[in-house]
Amino acid sequence: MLIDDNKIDLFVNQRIIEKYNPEIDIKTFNNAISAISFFKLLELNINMKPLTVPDVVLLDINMPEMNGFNFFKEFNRLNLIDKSKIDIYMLSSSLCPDDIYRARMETHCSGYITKPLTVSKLENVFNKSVNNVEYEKFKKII
Amino acid sequence: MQDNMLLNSFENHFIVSISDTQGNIVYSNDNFLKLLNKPINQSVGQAQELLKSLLQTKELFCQVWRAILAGEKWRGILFYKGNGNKNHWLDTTISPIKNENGHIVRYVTISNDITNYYCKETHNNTIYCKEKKLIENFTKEVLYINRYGKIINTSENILNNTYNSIVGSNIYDFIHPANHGYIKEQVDKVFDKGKKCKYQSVGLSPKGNQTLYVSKIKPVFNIDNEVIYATLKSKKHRNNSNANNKLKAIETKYSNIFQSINVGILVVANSVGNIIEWNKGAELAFGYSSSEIIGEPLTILMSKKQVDVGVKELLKAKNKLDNNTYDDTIEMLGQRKNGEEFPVEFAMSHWRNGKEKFYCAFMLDISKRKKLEEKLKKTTKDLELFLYRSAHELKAPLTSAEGLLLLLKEEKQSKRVSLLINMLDETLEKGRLLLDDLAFASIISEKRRSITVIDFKSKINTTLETFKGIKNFDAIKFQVQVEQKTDFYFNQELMDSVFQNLIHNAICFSKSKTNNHTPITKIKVKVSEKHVSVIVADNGLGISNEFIDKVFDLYFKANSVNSNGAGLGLYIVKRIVDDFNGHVTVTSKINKGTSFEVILPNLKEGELNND
Repeated sequence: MLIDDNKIDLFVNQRIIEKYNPEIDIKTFNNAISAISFFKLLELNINMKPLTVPDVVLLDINMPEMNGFNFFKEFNRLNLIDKSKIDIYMLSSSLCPDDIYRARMETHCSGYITKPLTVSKLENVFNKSVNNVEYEKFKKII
Repeated sequence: MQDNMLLNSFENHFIVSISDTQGNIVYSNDNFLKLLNKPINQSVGQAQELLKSLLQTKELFCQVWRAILAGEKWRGILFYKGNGNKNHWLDTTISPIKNENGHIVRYVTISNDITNYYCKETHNNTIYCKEKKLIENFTKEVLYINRYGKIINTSENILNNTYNSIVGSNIYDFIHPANHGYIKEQVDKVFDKGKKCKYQSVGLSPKGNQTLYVSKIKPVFNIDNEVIYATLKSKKHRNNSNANNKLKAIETKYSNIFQSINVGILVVANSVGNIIEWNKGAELAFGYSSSEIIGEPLTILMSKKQVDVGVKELLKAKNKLDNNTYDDTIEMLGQRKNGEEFPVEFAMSHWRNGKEKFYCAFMLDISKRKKLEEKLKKTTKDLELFLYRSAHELKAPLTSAEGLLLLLKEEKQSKRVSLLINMLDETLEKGRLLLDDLAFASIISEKRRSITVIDFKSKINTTLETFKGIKNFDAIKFQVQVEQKTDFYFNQELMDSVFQNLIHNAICFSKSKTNNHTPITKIKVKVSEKHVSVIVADNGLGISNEFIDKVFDLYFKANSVNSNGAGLGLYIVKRIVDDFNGHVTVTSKINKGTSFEVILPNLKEGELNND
């Protein structure tokens, strides 16, 4: 799942992911609110077939209306099963230590990736989610 | 014969009378009788009346008698109101005549009628003459005054008619009205406290002439130690009057300024630190009236929270003043009468008066300035944040473009297109670096908060690590030397930045390797208790003198070919150094190389500044 207000970024990231693994099912949202609505739908009907819980969420920080951190606020209120199985990565062009610190403090945030997204960065992300190794709780991928 | 003629002439000119010790006239000449306008036989034995009429006042009478009884001559001018209301002025000498045993047997009174001469002079300008004498006598004699300034007597009898004008008049009549209040204070002091005092005053004559007097007042006590009257002695200050007038003018000016100026001034005596003077400005600022505050300790003006700090500051300032260093200013939190607190600045100065030392404090209300300072601080912070945020916002589209470029690289492309793409990539990279640096520069002040131990060796190695692959890097021989005995505390990121920028600079401006030339970059770190000195020296291109002053300027680039940076690197180094009160120096010779030395403080715990 990709959440970014910038359509070009969404497009680029989608293409990069496809390049990394064309079989990955990608859902894109151009704002965090619709992403939250999607999760709310999941909450109501967990068994609906076309709606599957995403494994990985790449979340932009700077977005209008609801930014990345506000997304977490809403997300924490949701009553999803297997919430902890969802890996949410912050994806941002900012190297601001403050942002990184805040991301680290979020319980459901698995890591911080700096833009631009590359295949090698994605490999780093999926290595962890595939192996499910908990040795590193927070990944800082630059 | 001669004696006879002499006697005749004497008898014709003077009024002569001889009386016995009882005052009875035993001899008188014709002139005497003429004056009295009485027949000869009546004159003898009428001395009492004559004397009475001559010695009109009791004081004069006593004085004359005291003198002649003591066997001394008395000379003075007597006034006699003769028949027909004709006034006579007599220049009179009374001399006692003693017998062979030394006893006084006769008094010879010789008078000269000077009425014509005397009146002529006085007649022309009676008032002036009278006043002149009056003033003269006022200053010449010792006056006895009561507490209201009334002159009750004079020490010597005054030889003319001014006596009456002086006794019974008031000292204030002779003094310029401007001085009245001050002199009244002095007189009160004499009477209330029994102390001597000395003052200066401007005397006033009816014609408007002003003369400066120096006067002394001494109290006179009775047996019960009560002040019954005071003696006042005045002296003219004719010679110095000009200087004294100036002095007086200065004093008046000073006291006027002191009282009316809006700047608060308080004078504090050394020994106890109590306030001894207080003006309107201080009253306005603190709300205490002078009667409330005088005698109180200075600490009453300080904020209760900061008394300790305030006192410390004061003592520091006082010591500075005592050591004769220049006047000092201190800032503290003041407290008004109503409990309000406000920042205040005191400009302290001091002077000596005899043994006592005085401290004077000029108070400035700096509430406004403080507010502005705070506003400025906030604005600076906002501006830094704005810059930081802007840099990040600008980076977002750049990273998007980089992403697109990555995708583009994957597409099939002609050679020309791939060349363009590579150039575009480079441009974007530069832009991103610039924005990173900019963002970094904007938060240097923020970074000072997290301070940890710096490991210089590993720091330099990792820094060098990041430069691998850069043009010229492999050719350069790095000589690293670290002298470190104590731990050095600093912000990691800032230290990284210093090394990165200095070393990057050295790499960029190195000369390429030839048979005769091996590019060398020396990195020397020396750590002491208080400082670290970092020297990065290369043997590269060097900087010409005309640019050397500008290397730390924002966006300055000495050489567009070699410089890959944005002109921010050394600016950042400078910013860091300035922020921590360090030093940075650069020396360079064209074609010989450049050397940078950075000195930064060791930020051990507790040595951090808060601002």
